[in-house]
Amino acid sequence: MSEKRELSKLIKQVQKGDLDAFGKLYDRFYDPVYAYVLRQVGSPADAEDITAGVFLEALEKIGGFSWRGAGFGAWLFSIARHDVLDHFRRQGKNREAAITNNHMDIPSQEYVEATAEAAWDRQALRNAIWKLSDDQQHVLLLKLMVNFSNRQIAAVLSKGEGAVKALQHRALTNLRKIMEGNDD
Amino acid sequence: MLDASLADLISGPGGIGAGSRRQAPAQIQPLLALAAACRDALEIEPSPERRAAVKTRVMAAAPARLSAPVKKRPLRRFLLRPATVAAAILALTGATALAANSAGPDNILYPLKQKLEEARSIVAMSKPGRAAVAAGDAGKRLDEIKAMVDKGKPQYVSELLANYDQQINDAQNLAAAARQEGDDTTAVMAMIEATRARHDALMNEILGRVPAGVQAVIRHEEGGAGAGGNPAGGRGKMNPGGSTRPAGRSTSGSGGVSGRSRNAPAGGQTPNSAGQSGPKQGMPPAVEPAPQQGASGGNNGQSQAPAAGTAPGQGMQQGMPQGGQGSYNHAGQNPPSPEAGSMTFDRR
Repeated sequence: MSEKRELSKLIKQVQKGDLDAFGKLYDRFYDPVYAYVLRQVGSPADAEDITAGVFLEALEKIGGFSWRGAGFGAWLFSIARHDVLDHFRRQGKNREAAITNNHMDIPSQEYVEATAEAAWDRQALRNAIWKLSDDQQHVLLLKLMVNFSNRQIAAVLSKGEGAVKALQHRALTNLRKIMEGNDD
Repeated sequence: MLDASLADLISGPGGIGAGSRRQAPAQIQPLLALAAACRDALEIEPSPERRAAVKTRVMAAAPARLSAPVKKRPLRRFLLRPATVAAAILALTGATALAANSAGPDNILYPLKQKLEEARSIVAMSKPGRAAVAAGDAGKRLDEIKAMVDKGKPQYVSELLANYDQQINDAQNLAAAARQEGDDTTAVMAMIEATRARHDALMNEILGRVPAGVQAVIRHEEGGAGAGGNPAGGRGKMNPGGSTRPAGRSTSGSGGVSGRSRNAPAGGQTPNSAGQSGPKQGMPPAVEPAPQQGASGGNNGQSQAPAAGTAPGQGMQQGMPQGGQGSYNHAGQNPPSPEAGSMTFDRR
C-alpha cells in the first residue's frame, strides 16, 4: 500500500473514533512537528506542551479534514504554526526573544556525510535564520527540516507556490549575506 | 533552478550531498551549500523517552477531545464526494443556478434549488457558518410559502412549514453548539431571530388566505382539528399580538417526521444534515404528522406537481395522529377556496 493510501486509511480510522489509529498518526508526525515547534520557541518544555496541543487540536478537527489541497501534513503544520503564534501571543513574547534565549544548542545527530563546505557555526547559522523575515524563516524550516514541497509550504503559509519559491530564494540569499557579514 | 536543485538535494538518495551540488549551476552552488548547512544546524532528534512521555499525556487527553465520528452514509459514498458535488453544483451556469434559486416547490427546478442549498451547507464547514446557511434556507422557505399563497397554491404550505421548522431548529442547535465551543454567534443568532420574527409576521398574514387544514398546521392543532385543538408541542401557537416561541417548538425532526427528509432527492443530504440528521434526540414526541407516505417513494422533491389523486398534503394527511380528522384533504381535488368563511387568526 502506498504511503499516502496508508495515511489516508489511518486518517479515516481516526475520523471514526479509533484512538489506536490516532496513536499511529502521532508516532508518524511527532518528530517533525516537535522539531518545527522547538526551533521556534526554543524551550523543550514549551515545545512539548505546544506539540501535545497540536495533536489534540488535530484530533478535534480531524472530522473536517479531507484530502483536498496539500494533504494531511500541511494541514497538521498549519495547526502547529498557529499554535506557535498563539503561544507567543499568550506569553507576550516575540519570536526573536525566544530564539535568542532558547536552548538552541540542542544535540543533533551528526551528519554522516558532513557535506557543508563552509565551516559555519551551527549556532551562528541558527541566529542568522532568525534574522530573516517570518515567512522566509518558515519556508526554510518547512523545506529543510520537514522536507515539505512548495505546494505543502504554500498551504501552511496560505500563499501561492510562486511566492514560496521566491521566498525560498530570498531566504537563502539573505542568509548568505548575513553570514558573510558575520564572517567579516 | 534553485528550487529544483533544492528539491533534489532534499529528496535525493544521498540527501544533501556534494554529488547533488555538482550538478547545479555554479551560481547557486553556494546557496545549496548554505541550505545543506542550515539543514544540519536545524536538525533535532527528540529523545524517545520524551516522545513517549508526551504521547502518554496526549493519549490520556484524547478521548475527551475526540471529534464526533463521521458517519459514512452508504448512499453518500456511492455518489460523488459531497465536496465534489458541491463544487459541481456551484459551478452551474449562472442562468440555471439563478433560475433554480428563485424556484418554488411548484417549479421543476426546485430539486436543483434544494441541491444548491445542500451544496452551500456542505461548503460551510464551521458551525456558525452552517447555522447561518440553515437560517438562510429557513428564510427561503418563508419566501416560498408567501409565493405559493400568492399564486393560489396553498397546498404546498404545510410541507414548506415543516421544512422551515426543521431548518430553523437546525440553525438554532448549530448556533447553540457553536456558542458552547466558544464561537461568536452574535450575528447568526440575530439572523435566526429575524427569521423567526419574519415567520411570525408571515403566518399572521397568510392565515386568512389558506384553507382550514393549512390553518390548522399553522396553528398546529392536533389532528388537524379546527379551533380548539391543543397546540401542545410542535409548532407554536400564533397569537395575533405577537410571536410565540414556546419551548420545544417544532418537532418536525423528531421521529423522522420531517417531510423534507422524506421528499429530499434520493441520496441527497438535506440541509438539516449539516448539523444533524434523522430524528432529533430529546425532542418532544412528534405531534406533527408521521411520515408522508403519499409523498415518499419516488417523489423526487417537492417540485413535482401533485400526482393525480395525490396531493402534497395527502401523505401528511394519512399520517395524522390518532383522532385527527384532517380537515384538509385534497384527495386529488382542488383545495377549498381560501376565501371560504371568515378567517381570523385566533378564534380562541
